[in-house]
Parts: sequence; structure tokens; C-alpha cells
Amino acid sequence: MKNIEKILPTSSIRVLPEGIANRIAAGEVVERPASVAKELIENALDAEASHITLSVQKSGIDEILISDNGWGMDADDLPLAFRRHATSKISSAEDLLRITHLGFRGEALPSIASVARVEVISRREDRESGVRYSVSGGKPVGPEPVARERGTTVRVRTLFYNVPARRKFLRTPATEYAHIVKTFRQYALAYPEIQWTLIKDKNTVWNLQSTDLTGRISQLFGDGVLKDLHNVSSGSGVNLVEGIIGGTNLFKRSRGDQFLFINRRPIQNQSLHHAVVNGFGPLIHPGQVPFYVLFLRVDPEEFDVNVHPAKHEVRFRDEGGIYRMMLVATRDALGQSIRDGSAPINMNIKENEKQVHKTAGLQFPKPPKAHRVDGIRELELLFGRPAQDQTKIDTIYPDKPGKSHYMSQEKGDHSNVQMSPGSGFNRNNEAPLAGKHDPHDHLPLTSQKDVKHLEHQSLTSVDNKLELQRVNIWQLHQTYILSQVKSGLVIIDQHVAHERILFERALNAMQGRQWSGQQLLFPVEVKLDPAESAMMEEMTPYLARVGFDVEKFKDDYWLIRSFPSGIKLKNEEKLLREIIADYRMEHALKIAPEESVAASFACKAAIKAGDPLNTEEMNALIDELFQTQYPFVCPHGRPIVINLTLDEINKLFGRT
Amino acid sequence: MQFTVSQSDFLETFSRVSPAVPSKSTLPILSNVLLKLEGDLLQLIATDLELSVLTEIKVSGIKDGSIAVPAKKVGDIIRELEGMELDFFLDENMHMQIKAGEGEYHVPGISAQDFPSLPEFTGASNFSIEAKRLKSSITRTIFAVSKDELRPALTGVFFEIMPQELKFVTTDGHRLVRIIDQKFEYDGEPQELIVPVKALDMIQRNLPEEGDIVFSIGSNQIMLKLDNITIYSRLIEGKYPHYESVIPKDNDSHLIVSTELFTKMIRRAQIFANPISHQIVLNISSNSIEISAEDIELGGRGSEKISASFNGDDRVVGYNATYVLELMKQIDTDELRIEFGAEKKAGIVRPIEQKENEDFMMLIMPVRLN
Repeated sequence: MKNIEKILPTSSIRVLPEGIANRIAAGEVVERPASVAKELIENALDAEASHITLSVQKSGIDEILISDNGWGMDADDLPLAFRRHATSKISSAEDLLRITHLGFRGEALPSIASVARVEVISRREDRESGVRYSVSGGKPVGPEPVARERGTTVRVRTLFYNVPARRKFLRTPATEYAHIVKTFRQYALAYPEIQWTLIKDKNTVWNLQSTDLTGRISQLFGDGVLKDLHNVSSGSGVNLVEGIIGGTNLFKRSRGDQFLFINRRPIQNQSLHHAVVNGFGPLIHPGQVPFYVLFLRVDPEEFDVNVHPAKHEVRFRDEGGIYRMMLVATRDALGQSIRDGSAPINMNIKENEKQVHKTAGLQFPKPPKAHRVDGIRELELLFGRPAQDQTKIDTIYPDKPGKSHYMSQEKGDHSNVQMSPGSGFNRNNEAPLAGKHDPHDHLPLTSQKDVKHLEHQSLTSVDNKLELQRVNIWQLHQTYILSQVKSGLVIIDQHVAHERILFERALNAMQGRQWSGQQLLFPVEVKLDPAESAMMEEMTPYLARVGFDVEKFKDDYWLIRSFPSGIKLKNEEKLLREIIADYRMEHALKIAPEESVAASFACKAAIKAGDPLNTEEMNALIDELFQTQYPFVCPHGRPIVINLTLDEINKLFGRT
Repeated sequence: MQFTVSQSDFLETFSRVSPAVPSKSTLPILSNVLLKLEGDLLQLIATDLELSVLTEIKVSGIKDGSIAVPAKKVGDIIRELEGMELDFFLDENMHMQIKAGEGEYHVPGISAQDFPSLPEFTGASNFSIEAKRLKSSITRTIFAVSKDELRPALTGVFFEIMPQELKFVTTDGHRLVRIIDQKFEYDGEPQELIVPVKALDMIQRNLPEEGDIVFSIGSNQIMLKLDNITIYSRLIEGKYPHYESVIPKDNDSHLIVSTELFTKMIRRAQIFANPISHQIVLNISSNSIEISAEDIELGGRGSEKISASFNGDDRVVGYNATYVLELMKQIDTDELRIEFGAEKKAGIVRPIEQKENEDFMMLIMPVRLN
């Protein structure tokens, strides 16, 4: 502050002394303890550490200590590291366009040192001993020799000791600690192959051993989430998105568990978050937030992180394209991937990989198999799952914003969502060609030999499972369908299963081929109240598409002349009234009328709990269920199929 | 109560009433059969309150009495005692002791007082019909009865009793069957009855090969005294729909086709139809008919063509294959005739030749094709 007083009265324009410049830069980079942690973590990552420890005292306000086992610095490097724009990571302006390191601005240490007391102890492996260097109140101390293993320890104490305004604006220790945890989790997720330790006031909070992404998620969020995780892998050209999204069971009401990375750098982007949410389509309701850990891999030339010193904002050259890719990836993961037990077929995937590897140079960790996926694939082999056509996918979830999610004609960029026509087994046979046998192995899968090998494996495993095709199937309390599968037991809720089938068929009927209507010998007369009647007029064209031939013949009297074929004849009048009532509710939510009609119809016309089903009916139901886009969640987001593995059952019985 | 009887006689009689015992009931007493002994005559009675049956058997009576015994347990044990002489004895604890050879079986009974009494039948009018004709008419109509309990009137067979003819009608809203039996005499006031399926099943089981059957019509119930069983049934209340108005009068495009070939074609096509809608498509021209089916959801399709004679303009019509096949089963002539009228209106199916003194027709509503 003294300097400013000296400068201001005499001259209007001056080059700022380095200390002041650093403090201004610090204002941008160092907002709170968590931002210190972030900068230092990035330095440790850039030093290729394999174990990073973050230790905080009083939520980092008193002390933040980062220790790593990376390259380390020597006595010559250390003083330089505290100089502004001193960086080992880029050397020319051209490099700025191709940033692959996390830190590059050379601002971190000097900025932090300008607002806190910083001490660094470091040792390069090729030096005989470590060195200590510290800066306190702008004054350097050292470097002096000290004993240390390879790596670097940075201790940041009394943050903002010289900026009382900043210090005053820090939140409660609990809030600041929450920010630290958030930062720690972001990087721990982005780098699961690295061992991470978080220590709070001398107590170890986490000591996360090196693992893969799924392992890391379970370390951080508990094993419970594993059941509802779905692998994401999608992309075209040089852009790719991979990672994991949580299913409907992991929806939350508040933000916090959404992790998005670009080339492994944590970013925030409202638009891309929206893409993921939209990918859930009707499964997600307003106010619900999905869980996801997604990694975008984009050519560094395609985006700019140098928007803000803290680097969490990103600009894309083609934001629309990235948006679509994220949306499609989410849909795929929820729809096709789950059912296939693998990533969607992507004929271009190998080409993508090469380019991504070349440009990004990142090694993406191999997540292990999410265990529920196997059961589901098996389920499909058991019950069979014949062909689907591309049009169906497009009509159900086209991209066009603004209009309904379901109704748009626009195909969007779906080159990456190819589904093979043919029987269920053909699909599986084709799979390995696209690296589909094991979705998690597709990155390293490059040689033709590997492909052949996998193809062979896949074929034999399909053959083995085929023998299980004829299994028993039971109805439980006229509500659930039970069946044995190799991995254990599946339980299907008959009502929501049928609701899902009808919902998708109804949506298809809205767009494409109309649902045929069984004509009635005795047209049913229904007297509606004026409000219902008005609703009915609005619904008539959509009802017609699902096979209802309804006609107003006087005042509020209506005639039902036909009924959707294949629906067990129940009380048509009651059904129609229920659909109107349901439609009114849906309508209040401002959902497009065709969707509302489809949803109301599906919900009300579906078989109910308590309806007895024979084996043939149960089999038909399951066949149809696995024809749908989302066989595992009903239109309201409830689960349709539960897979209890033998392990889980064994656990219940205390068998281990 | 005590009597002896041969196993075969008892089992035969018992099996006649036991089908009336409801498999599930909120009233536990209804799962019993009432036994009533007077001298050498043993009466067996079962009821579900809608349908009641009574039958009798000669036994060697020792002591009169009555008791209700669980139908399933008694039936099961009797069935296992093949060829033996059975001793029935009711002890003071209301246990029915059944002795057969060295075996002794105790079945707990329930006081006869707790068993619902047979409906008081105040007979009003009667009609009679030849057993053979009745059987045939019930068989050909009962399949089209509705299972929709929300429309009880459609869940039974409609009997329309007129001086010169008796009509049997059933419908489930998609199909309708009507048989007019013209070999019929009745001199009372015209009557309309809706007879529940369960009663008709029971009648069918017990109809003799030959002879006439007398229906007694009471207030809201009927009674039939057959050779070895008396059947009482409540009638279904409610108004039967005005079915005559939906039978088209101007279906003048006639298709004549071999019953057997037509049936087989539909059976084959059905394999390729959607398993839920069973939709098949008939493509009819003046000298042939093509039947096809396609399952959009699950994939696969099939089609087949045979010669047929048709006097109308070419047309395409869709049906639920299951419905059509059920109609085919009722036709015993080599050829059949389908009469088409306006689109969306019912098609009329008839045998190529009617039986003597009979008019038999079936209606089937098409599926509106997309």
C-alpha cells in the first residue's frame, strides 16, 4: 500500500511495480483458499506426481499444504518460480493456442506469495538434496539446502494476511472447506490413476488409492451409486465425450455432483450442463439434477480456456456441435448403452481415438465394468431383442430445441448413433467390429488382430448364454414378473413396463405410422362436462393417432367408435375420462399435447398391478419392453427392472 | 349321520357338484359340499350363491343327518380310495369319519345350519329345447362372451325367447354371434334372459345326449332339472345392448372361401403379427385373397394368397387374427361366406350352408388400418 501512496500524487501512468501487479493478479486467481489449492494441485499434476496430498488447517485459511512426488525443482528453479509469468510450460505465443498443461500463465506462485506466506521445499531426483525457499511479505528467504525426497511441498499460510478486505470476505470455515472439498473431488475424479490424500486439521479425510474412474467414484461417493452408473462414450470427428452418468436413482434436488472436464481440466459450462439434462429427456423433471462425471476431449485449438485467469470458463469454437454431442452421448448411455451392456456402436471410433490421442495426448483411465451392465446384457440374450430402426430413435429423441423433444423431424447429427438392424444376435455379433464387445477396452483397441480376437470371444460367449433362453418366468402378487438370469434375479414391474411400451408406441404413432384402431360394435357414448369437452377437442387429433376414433355428436356428448388395437378391452369410457383428467394435469405443466396424450394414455391403458398375466403374456411384455428406448425407467422416472445379483442375494443370507 | 356307499358311485356324484364350489371365496363355508341323508337318499349340494347345484345318490343309510364337508379334502381322499367300500360316520365332534378298508380318515365338518339354503324357486314359465341343439348353440356362442366385469350384461349369453324361435346372442363389443333356433315352440310371453357363463358350463357338463331339457324361469333366476342334477342359477341383471341395430343390412360384397385353407392361412400369418395386436390384413380381389401380417416393432412379415370368389370391389381390411380364428372354429361347413359392407362396419361371417331350422351368423369388427 505504501507504494501506491507514493505513486499516485506525482504521476498518472506508471508501470506497476511487480508486487502490486502480483497482488492484482492474485485478486483474479486467488479468490479463496480453494483457489490456492486448485493452483497448487495443477502445478503438482503438471509435475507428473503420482501421489498428491492436500492438507488444510482451519479450512485453509490458516494453512494450505500441498505435497507431491513429482519432478521437483532445484535451487536455480525456485526463485524463478516466484517470478510473474515464469513458467516452464509454454515459451511462445503460438503455444498459447495449443495449451495442454493445466497451469501455464506463470501466475500461480507469485500471485499466492503476494497475499500469503509461502514456503516451498523441493527436490529434483537428480539433485543430492532438496532446497527450501520462502517468501514472506515479499521478501525471499533462501534457497537453502534441506533434506527431502523427490517432489515438492508448498505451504501457504495466513492467506490474505496483507489484504484485510479479502480476509473479511471469506465465508465461514465450513463454506470454505466445502469449496476445498469440491476442488479436491474434481481433480481426484479427473485423475483417478493418481493417489490423493486430503487431510483436514491433521485428520485424514480421504486417502484414495490409485484406481479407475468407477473406482474413484465409489471411493468418493460410496458403493451405493455403482448400481446406477452408465458409461458414456460418444463423439464424432476429433471430439469425444466419455465418462459416467448416474441414472434416475441418483437425481438430486441441488447442484454439486456434476463434474465436467475438458481435456481433464474441470470446467463449468451452463450450456453443456443443460445438454446433459436434456439428454435425459422425459426421465428428468424440472428441479432434478443428474449425477455425472464427463470428460470432453476436444482439440485444444477448438476451445479457449484463457478467458479468465482461474481457467474454469471455456469458450468453444463450435459450441452447438459440442452441445449436440453431449446430448446424444447422454441419451445413448441411458438408452442403448444400458441395454447393450456396452457403448453405442460407433464405426468411426478408432479414427477418433487416434486423433484424440495425438492432439490431447491424454491417457484416459479405463473404468472397470459397471457390474449391472452384465446382468442386463444377459437379460437381453435371454429374452432376445430383435431389430430396431434408426428412424425410431430419431423420432423419439430428435435434437430440435424449442419444439417437443419427441416430435421434431430434424435428424440432427446422429452419425454416431447407428443401430444395426437385424436380430438381437446379429447385433451382438457385429458388436466387436465396432469395439463393442467391451466398451472400456475400445481405446487401446487399435490393431486388427485385437479386433479379430474380441470378435471370436464375443461369439462364443453369446453361444453359451443362448442356452439359457428358455427360463422360467413367474408373476409375483400379480404385480411383478420374476425371472432367473445368470447373474441372479430380475424383477420387472408389470405396470410400468407396459406403460413404457405404450408410451413409446404412442409417441411413435404421433409421428409415424398411426396406431390401428379396433372398431367397436357398440360405439360408447360419453357425456363430458364442458371443460372436459374443451380438452377433448384439443386431444382428438392426437387420440386418433393412437387408435381412438372419438367424435362429438351433440353438445358435450362424445362417441368412441374405435379403441387402440391390442389393448385389452376394458371400460372405454372410464379410460377416456382418466386420460382427460391426466391430460389436464400434464397440460398444466406445459408439456406438448402429443406428449401429454401419449403419457396419459400409456399410464391409464397399461395393465395394472393386480392384473393376472399368463406366461405368454409375460414373455410378450418382456419382448416389447426390450424394444423400447428406455426399458429401465418408466416415463415418470421410476425403475422398471431391478436386477438382484446372486452376490447381493448371498449377502442377504449372510453367505459370503 | 351314518351311511355306506361304493367309492365309484360316491365319486361320480361328488364330481358332479364340486365344479360349482368356488375356488376362492370370501365366505369360507362355500368351499364345502353339504351332505344330507334321509333314509337311503343322500343329497349333495354346492353353491357359490350365484350358481347352486343339487344331486342325489342312493346309499345304504344307517342314521339320518347332515353336515357340510370341505370339498377339496373329501374329493381328494375319495379319489385315492379306488374300488373300495366307504363307511361314512359323523361323530359328536362334527368330524366326518371315512373308513375304507384299513384306512380311517377324519374330516372336520361344519354345521349344516351354516350352509346357505337353496334358492326358493317360484317357477313362472317354462320352455323346453332339444338337448343336442342346446349344446351346439351354447358351444358356438359362449366363446364371444365379454370378460369385462364393468359391463356385466355382456358377460353372459343372451336368450331371447319368442313364440316361434329362440335366439342365442353373445358379444364382447368386437364380435357378435347370433343363432336363431327356429325349431322352437313357446306359448308364454316373450322373455329375455342373460345367463352367466358358469351356469352354462355346468349345464353343458350335464346335458344328456338325447331328449328335451326344460328351463324353468323364475324371478331373476332359472332352474334346470336334468337327469341326475338340478341346477339353479341367478340371471345377470341389466339390459342387453340393442344388438340388432349393429347387424349390417346392406353387406352385399360376398367373399366365399375354403374354411380350412382360410383358417390355416390366418394361423400362419398370425405368427408374423404383432404379439399384442395380432393384426392381419386381408387384401381381397375378385378371385383371390391375400392375407399378410407384419410386426413393425419386432420385425418380420408373412403373406399368402389363395383363390376365392368375391363379388365386390377390391378391398383391404384389417382384423385381429385371434378373433377371426375363434370364429373359424365355429364353422363346420367346407366353405364360409364373409359379407362386407361399408368400411369400418362389421363384416358378417356365415357358414356356406345353414343347418336345418337355424340361422347362424357372426359379426366381426375390423381394425382401422393406419
